[in-house]
Amino acid sequence: MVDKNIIRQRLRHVYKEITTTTETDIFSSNVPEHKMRNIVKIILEGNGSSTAVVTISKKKEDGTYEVIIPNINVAAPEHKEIPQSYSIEDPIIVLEGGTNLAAKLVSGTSVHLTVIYWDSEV
Amino acid sequence: MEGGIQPIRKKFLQPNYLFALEWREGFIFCRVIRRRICQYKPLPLVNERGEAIDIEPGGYVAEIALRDPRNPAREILYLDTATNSGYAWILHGSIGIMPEQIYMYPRFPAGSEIPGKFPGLDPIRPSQGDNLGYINYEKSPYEEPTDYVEFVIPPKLSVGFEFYNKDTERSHQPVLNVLFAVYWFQVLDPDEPWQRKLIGRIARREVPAAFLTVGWGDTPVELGGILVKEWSAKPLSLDEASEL
Repeated sequence: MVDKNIIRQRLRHVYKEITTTTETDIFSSNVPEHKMRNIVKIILEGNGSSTAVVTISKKKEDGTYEVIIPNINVAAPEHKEIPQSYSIEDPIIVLEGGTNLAAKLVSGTSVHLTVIYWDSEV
Repeated sequence: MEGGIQPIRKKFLQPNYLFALEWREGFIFCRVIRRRICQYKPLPLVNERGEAIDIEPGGYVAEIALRDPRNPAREILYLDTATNSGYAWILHGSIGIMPEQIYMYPRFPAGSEIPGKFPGLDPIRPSQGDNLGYINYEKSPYEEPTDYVEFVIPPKLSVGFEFYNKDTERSHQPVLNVLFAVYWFQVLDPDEPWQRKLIGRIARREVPAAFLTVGWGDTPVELGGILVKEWSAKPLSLDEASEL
């Protein structure tokens, strides 16, 4: 049983600046096959100079992409959190082994993206 | 806790409780005279010089003893005499650990068996971070050490520990909660009439008594000549004891 104390010790974050209109993998490598990756929060930060529209997708094991959240509008000075209120015990997206999270610009020049997550196993 | 694993504090014996200690030579039957609860929390892992050990990602710490950071010449889990204040004595307890990414592989006696080995499998390799035979936060949480691995440590035997950091990104320092009871106990003599009866009743399960095994290998640890002599111990098989 994974309780809150264990999740606290497993909590991790990854940061990526999204700058292109092609899919960018968020994690440096796909989720290991024996793990499930629980994403509990996504933070988007505007670049301070121009509005960006970004799409978040799941990269499947076959390398294709499935849109999860399309066309998120992030104004230049905006700070956006998905979800706005959250619990570390309640993931909004679960990635199985061999998959990844990806993002791409629909328009704009860049957006800052931070993902808070924990894995089912150490 | 689930699956028959429970907090070690629930298993500590009270004064005048009965118990049987299982050794390679057989069982000895005992009565607790006194006990003392001993806790070292938090205990950072230190080397022989008393320096805190920080384990790098994927790093390994070869077998070491748990030492007192105030005086690293002292091992915490070691009794250096067979008896104390006229009684046999023993340590019984468990260790809680954090963070979860640190796997701890105990060896008892030092240099020998690791608990948790499936009988048909190859030896456990702590240096590779093998996924069996370890204790971590999930098995024995720092806040509440469990009997997932229950330590029964007689005099003159050391416990060794190896550590592996399963985290691939961060260094971690193991922090331990060492929770033990010291029991001073009377070894029951099968040649004394009233004690003989009591031994028989314990073996036949007619009176409540705990069973503690010394060691966690395929066979228990050897009692040995020194303790036999100093404790005046007369180990019996369970069948022999049941007939008393």
